[in-house]
Amino acid sequence: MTLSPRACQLAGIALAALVLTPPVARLLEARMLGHMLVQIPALWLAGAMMAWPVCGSRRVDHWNMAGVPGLLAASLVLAFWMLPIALDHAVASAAWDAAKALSLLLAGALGVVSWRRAPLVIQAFFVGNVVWMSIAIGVLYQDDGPRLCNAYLLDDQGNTGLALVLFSLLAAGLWMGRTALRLQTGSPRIDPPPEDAVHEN
Amino acid sequence: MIRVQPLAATVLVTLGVALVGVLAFAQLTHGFSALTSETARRDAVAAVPIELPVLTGIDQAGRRHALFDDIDQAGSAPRVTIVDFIYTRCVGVCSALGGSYQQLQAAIQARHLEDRVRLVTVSFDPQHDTPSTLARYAQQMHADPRIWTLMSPQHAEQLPGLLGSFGIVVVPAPLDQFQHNAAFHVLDGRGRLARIVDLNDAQGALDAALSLLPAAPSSPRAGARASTSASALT
Repeated sequence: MTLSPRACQLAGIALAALVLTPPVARLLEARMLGHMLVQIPALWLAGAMMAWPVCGSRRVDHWNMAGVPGLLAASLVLAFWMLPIALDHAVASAAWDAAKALSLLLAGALGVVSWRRAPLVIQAFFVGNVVWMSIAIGVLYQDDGPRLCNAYLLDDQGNTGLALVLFSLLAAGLWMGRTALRLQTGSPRIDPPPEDAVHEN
Repeated sequence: MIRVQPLAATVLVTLGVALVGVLAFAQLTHGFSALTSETARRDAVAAVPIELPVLTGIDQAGRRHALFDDIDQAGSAPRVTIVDFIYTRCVGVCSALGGSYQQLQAAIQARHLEDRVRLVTVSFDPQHDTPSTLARYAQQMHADPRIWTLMSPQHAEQLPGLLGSFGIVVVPAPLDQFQHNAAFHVLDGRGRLARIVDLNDAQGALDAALSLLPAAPSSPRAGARASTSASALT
């Protein structure tokens, strides 16, 4: 990361403000593809960027060992906003849309803070789960069956499904490539940070 | 301040997150039964019938009356109504609905249910679907005016409220078309939305309508008619 933590945080705030500005939000939510594969990931990323400065902080260690509860919360929030009924609610109701923004920002923040604490096996578990889940939902959306969201067109649903599968495969590929590289070079960051062990005693 | 062991705290927080997650998913999916808002809409209506707004429409004969008022049956026992929403320019799902309505009309005629069940088609495109357009459409469909009324709301600004009360979402699509969650909407004798039946299941819509008939002295006969329904629509 070439940005300073502070700049990263500001960029996160700017990104969240951008995708939540009413005209931009309306434009993104007008299509399922923009809603699911632009606005939702952008909010998650914005939350992660906002939390970047506290990433190394040890203050959350005493309830977030190995990042397990944080990563669980982050993946549950992602799964929640992949369900067609949740997307429809977010389009139809401002309260649901606000809940979506808040939960995704929080999920991004929890995700990045917990990720840095998670040993490889925990990371693999959560990456596997989220990727498997998004591919399953992406395949479901590509099914030429009925429309699953009342707010979106059938073609849009099919394109979103395909994009979701590709996006998940890309994310899984990136993570595997990075991990393989680190295992090869023997970088210490794939192991749990040593401070966790100190706290356990 | 009490010092909780990190492992115990982590386990507690993980359990809490899982619990909140399960509750949130249960709330969203109405107890894990509905992954789509369409399923949720159908379940909600079947559980508690919905009162509909009273608003004026114009039918294919140019008569103005409350949208679901059964003016042809004034004074006698109220009929059960099967409602669908269309726009006549539709080249997709509405044409299938038109065919299903023809089947339903034929079944109602064959089983002499004219005084028990009626059909109402509402256009959500009143700018285009004027009474004369609706009359032409009715003629193409061979709509029997005693059974099948076609209407559009008189005031277009009331349309969002009407669609909202039914839970219908109309999305503009390319080539001047619309996509909408089409289904058979069954109104009970009091004019409340009581059942929503899938578009592919005209038989189910008629069965639902017959099941909503108020218990009349002739109910054994109605039951006998219902039991023969399987053959009537094939």
